[in-house]
Amino acid sequence: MSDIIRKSKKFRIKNGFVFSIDALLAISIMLILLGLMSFYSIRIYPETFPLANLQLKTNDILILLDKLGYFSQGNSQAIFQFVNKSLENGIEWHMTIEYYTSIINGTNVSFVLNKTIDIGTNSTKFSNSVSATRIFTIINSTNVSYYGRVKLISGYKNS
Amino acid sequence: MEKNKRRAARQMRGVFLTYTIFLLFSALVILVYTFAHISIMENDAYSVFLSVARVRNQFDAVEYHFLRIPVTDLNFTIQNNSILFSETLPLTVTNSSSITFYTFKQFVEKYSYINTTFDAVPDLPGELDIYPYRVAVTHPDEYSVLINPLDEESINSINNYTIKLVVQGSTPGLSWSDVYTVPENSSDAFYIFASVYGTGEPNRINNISAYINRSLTSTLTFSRGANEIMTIKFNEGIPGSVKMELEPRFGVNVNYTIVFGGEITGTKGGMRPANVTVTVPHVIKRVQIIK
Repeated sequence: MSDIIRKSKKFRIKNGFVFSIDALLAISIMLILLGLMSFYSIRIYPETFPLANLQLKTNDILILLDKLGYFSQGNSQAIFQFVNKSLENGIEWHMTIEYYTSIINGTNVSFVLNKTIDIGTNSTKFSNSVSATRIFTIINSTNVSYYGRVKLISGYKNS
Repeated sequence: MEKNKRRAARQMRGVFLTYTIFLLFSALVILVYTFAHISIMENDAYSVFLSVARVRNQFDAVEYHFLRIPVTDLNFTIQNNSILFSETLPLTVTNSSSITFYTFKQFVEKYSYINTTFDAVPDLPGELDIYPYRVAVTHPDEYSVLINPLDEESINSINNYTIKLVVQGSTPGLSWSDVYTVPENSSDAFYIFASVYGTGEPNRINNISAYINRSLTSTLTFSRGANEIMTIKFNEGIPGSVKMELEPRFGVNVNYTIVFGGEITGTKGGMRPANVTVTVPHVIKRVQIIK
């Protein structure tokens, strides 16, 4: 009788050991999963949100340049200073501004590229970049003298 | 017997363990799939967010420059301190617009970096603002014209109104229904001159003039017998304002002049609304009416 009890005890202890290993394994898998999750989150955040922030900032810069009349003046030095001041350190940018004049012949309208201004760093040097675009008009007192479009690319320096 | 029972119990345990492992593995697969799905959704949300920002920026650019185009769909001329409008009432509801509008449309559609269409909406011209004063000329419907000074300075800047009506048929009469006249040198006075001419026989012009109180409502009526053709209310609600209302069964040519105390520097608006559609392929398409 006592032999049976001993055997059953031994069996239970053996079982307990297996269940402990199982629980340990489960905890390890959960830890690996949590580790992967946190790694994934860390990987996502620095890439996505600063770029989104940079995108919005780039849009805002074009709106400001337009509404403050920088494109009408066409002063590349003033635009360079404004954009440099607006973007934080470590961000490079490149801007292309195109000025068009319209030719109206009856009901046919065509546009001729009159002037292009390129300002900033060569955009091929950026690692992560965003771009914003805008159209604009330059108006004198009685008519539209120029139609224009602008593209601003901004991004992080290639390390 | 005992042995068989134990074997059956072990077999049951084996089956139970198999099912447990299968369920756990399924749960793991579902979990991994959920994470993958969330990451894709996050990227999609990010690209939609950026597209929305680009689309909003494009609407802002088109609206801002459209409303600053220095031509309007209203017919007027500016001479120093006076602005003369020449209109046919009822005003036509159409989508035909000026060549400047068409040129702007062509530029927006062909040269925007983002896919955009731009069309005039069949409607009446929008509000025209006269600068440097804050005076707005609007057409609430085809039969009405409203001239509203929007602040105290603008009310005081209006010196006089001249309204000249041309109608088909005999010349109508014009008379005050209510009038609050004041002396010429009163600080509340502004001058009204109105005339009407009928193209039919007898060819004659009727006119009326008065210095009226800019704070009290005066009403001028153009009528042929018992038929009212047009009523003009001065200072109704807003001092210095004018409200012209044509009886819908009539048609008139109306020339009205607003004379200010100083020079007019420019106007803004007065265009028919435009229907703008901005598309980011496969992501977002938005339509907006700007006016």
